[in-house]
Amino acid sequence: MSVSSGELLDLAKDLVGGEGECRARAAVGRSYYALFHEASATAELLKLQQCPADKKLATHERLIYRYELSGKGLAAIGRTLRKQKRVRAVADYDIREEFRAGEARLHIANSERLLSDLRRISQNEIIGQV
Amino acid sequence: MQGQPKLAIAGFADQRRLMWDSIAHTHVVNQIAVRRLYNDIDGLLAVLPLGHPGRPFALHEQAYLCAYLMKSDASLKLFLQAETEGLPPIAKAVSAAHAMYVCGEIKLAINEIEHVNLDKAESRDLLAVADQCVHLGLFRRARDLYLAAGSAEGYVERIVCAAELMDEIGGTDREVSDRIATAAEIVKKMSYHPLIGYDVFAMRDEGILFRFVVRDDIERLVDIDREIDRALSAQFDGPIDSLFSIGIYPHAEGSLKEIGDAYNVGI
Repeated sequence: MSVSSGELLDLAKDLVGGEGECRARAAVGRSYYALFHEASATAELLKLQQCPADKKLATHERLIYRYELSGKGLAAIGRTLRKQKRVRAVADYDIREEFRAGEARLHIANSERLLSDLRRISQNEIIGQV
Repeated sequence: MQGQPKLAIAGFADQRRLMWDSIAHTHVVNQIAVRRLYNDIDGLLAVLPLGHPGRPFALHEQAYLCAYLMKSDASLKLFLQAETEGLPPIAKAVSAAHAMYVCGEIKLAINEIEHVNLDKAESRDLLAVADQCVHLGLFRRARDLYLAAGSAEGYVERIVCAAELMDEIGGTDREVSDRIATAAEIVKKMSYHPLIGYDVFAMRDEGILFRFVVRDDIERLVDIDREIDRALSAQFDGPIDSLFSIGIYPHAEGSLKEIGDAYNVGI
């Protein structure tokens, strides 16, 4: 991987540290993708059950679905992932309403916490495999 | 003879509304000021004879003040007494529903709004009930009432969209409100203020996002946000869960749609 999820999250923090609503909105996009990539890698590492082929879902929903199929603990991660995706939709599509830096900061803090959880889960899996 | 109490009650009602404006703006409740106003109204009620036309309105104001202190039982009793003494049933139902939401008692709020008789309701009544339905998750009912009242612009567009998305998967208002009730319990437990502001986002291909406005530091907001997801995942697993998310919106002064005064009662 030439870019890590951590680097994407760092970019999100840089963006929200600057002035202006556009930066706050862009920060949420980077924050979400940091989370998406980390969650994708963790799903692969854990060999989470794939979303059935006949389910007509987009890529991001397919990833969320994998977590939701895997017990309540991982389902809660899937739920947070979906919520983060929806806040990203607010940031990217709902441009008639003001978008505040606080929303972006909360999104980033949520992503950071979840990234840390995903890394811990991955680490435990790797240790278990050794 | 009745002019002075009438003026006094109108003054108390103004004070209470200003107090709510301040709470909505800051998400901080000045409990001493709330109690002081409550006691002032109590003093007036002590000298107003039963049957005085101002009594139901004074009781209505006290009921709201109890809600700001999150005393739901006392608030409901006062609303009931106000209705018994002459407060119009729609005003009682709408205000009590709002007050119960403020207390974080979603099911009690729904109980108030579900039983309101709208057979002879005017447009403004329909809109008042619709507004109360939104933050209780009764999106389909809210949509129907908004459209019946001839309102379909601005913020209402989102509610119409949310209701349509629910229609497509056969989702019910009860499913959404059950989830909001679970989340509201967590917000009530983990935040330091009543339930005040909220935000609803709805968009085709993206789904519905309901957010409670909470004032706290960012790490605490993450704690609350994650706790909501844990609780919802532990309790619910249905098609509506793919469509509907609940989260936290960080408080910022002057931001967001707060739930306004549900019903401006006047003497």
